[in-house]
Amino acid sequence: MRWIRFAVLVLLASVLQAGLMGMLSLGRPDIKPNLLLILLVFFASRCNATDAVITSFAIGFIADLVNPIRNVMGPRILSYGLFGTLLFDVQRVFSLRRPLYQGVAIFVVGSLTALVSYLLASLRTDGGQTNLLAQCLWQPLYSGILGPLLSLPVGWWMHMNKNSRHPYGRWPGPRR
Amino acid sequence: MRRKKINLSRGMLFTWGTLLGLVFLFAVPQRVCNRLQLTYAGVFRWPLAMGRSATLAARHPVPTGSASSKEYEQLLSNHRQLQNKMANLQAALQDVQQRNEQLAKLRGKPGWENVELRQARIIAMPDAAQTQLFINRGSEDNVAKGQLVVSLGDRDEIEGSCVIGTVSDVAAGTAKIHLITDQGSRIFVSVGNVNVRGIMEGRGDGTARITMINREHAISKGDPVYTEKQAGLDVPVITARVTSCEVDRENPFFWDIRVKPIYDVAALSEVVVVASASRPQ
Repeated sequence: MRWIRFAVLVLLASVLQAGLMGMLSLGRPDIKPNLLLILLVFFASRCNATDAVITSFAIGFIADLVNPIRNVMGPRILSYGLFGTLLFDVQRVFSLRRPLYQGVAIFVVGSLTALVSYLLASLRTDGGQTNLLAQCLWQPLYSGILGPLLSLPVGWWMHMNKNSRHPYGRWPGPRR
Repeated sequence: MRRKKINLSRGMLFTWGTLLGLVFLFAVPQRVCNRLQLTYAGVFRWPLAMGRSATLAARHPVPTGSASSKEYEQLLSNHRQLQNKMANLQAALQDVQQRNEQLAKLRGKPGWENVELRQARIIAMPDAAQTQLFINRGSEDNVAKGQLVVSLGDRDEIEGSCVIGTVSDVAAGTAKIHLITDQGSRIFVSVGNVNVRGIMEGRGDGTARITMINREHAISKGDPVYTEKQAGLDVPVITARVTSCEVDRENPFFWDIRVKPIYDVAALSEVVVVASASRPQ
């Protein structure tokens, strides 16, 4: 795992998410693609077991920093870490390198992380308004459509495209 | 010196990550989280500001001509203010149009074509007994003491507009209306057949009483009560209906007629003052 490249990529994604993703919003300001969610699914499906866990929690931390739910940090660290780790197990059964599966995975993980993050944030504070429909449905759907398109440049940057011996088949699993 | 590789199992990493999340969620004070977010925003303020500007530029139309961004913001602000003013004017216009339609309906009735009318809005309900009202027209609008006040009804039937009282006091911009049920109110009326004339006196309890009508006239419950023709108003206007008709105990040659107004005071919002029909008190 190239951690410096990973750090640059995640920071770049966070800046783009905070600054430029508003340009791609559809109808409402909160219906926009979630780049960090796309990266979460990408790394959880392409890294080995330990790296998948580390990248999931790290991306969750950045997501909490950039766009905290109800101004609380922690919910996304937990939800991204949990579902990123689970996704690594799932990709042993379903190849998440197929664009369709990847899109579906982004949508499902996005919905679940948004819901769990909202519930966790509710434990700390009960103030503020959150548009659950946009967070749990429209944003993951938008990200799921856009996500597979970004996997190629991200894979190129992380030098992960060449690792794939079976780009449309089952991945043999992490090397020990 | 050889670098020692740290081997951590997946489960251990997950536990540490979860603990980190729980610490941030429950143990780390809010100000520390705010500090972290501020630090991030400070470090990346330049790309974040650029992204924000680009997003705003993409959402708003690009200014044309040689106007600077400050002038453009000013123009946008003026545009919003003008839109608000326009919305208020449109609402006022709709209100005036609605009033004109009501007045046109009233003028469309026979006898009302040449009557000079002053439309007024009721501005207060001064007493609990609901025997007096205030309107937003006064001497500046040619409203004078003694003029008849008619309710504005939405319906086309005869009860749509009825006399509710007379102007009792006038100020520059407001006037007080004596309702027909107010104690001390006295109006010349006709009952049923317009040739049967009498005097209607308010009783102060939401009803009125008509005296001086000879028993030779047949009066029955439900008969309409009209105000007499007045100068400028050459048509009788309904004001009440008979609720009971008995022999007057003090003067057995006359009827003691009790009437109830057909208007609902609580539902009144607009009235019309018959400006040319001034009645001596």
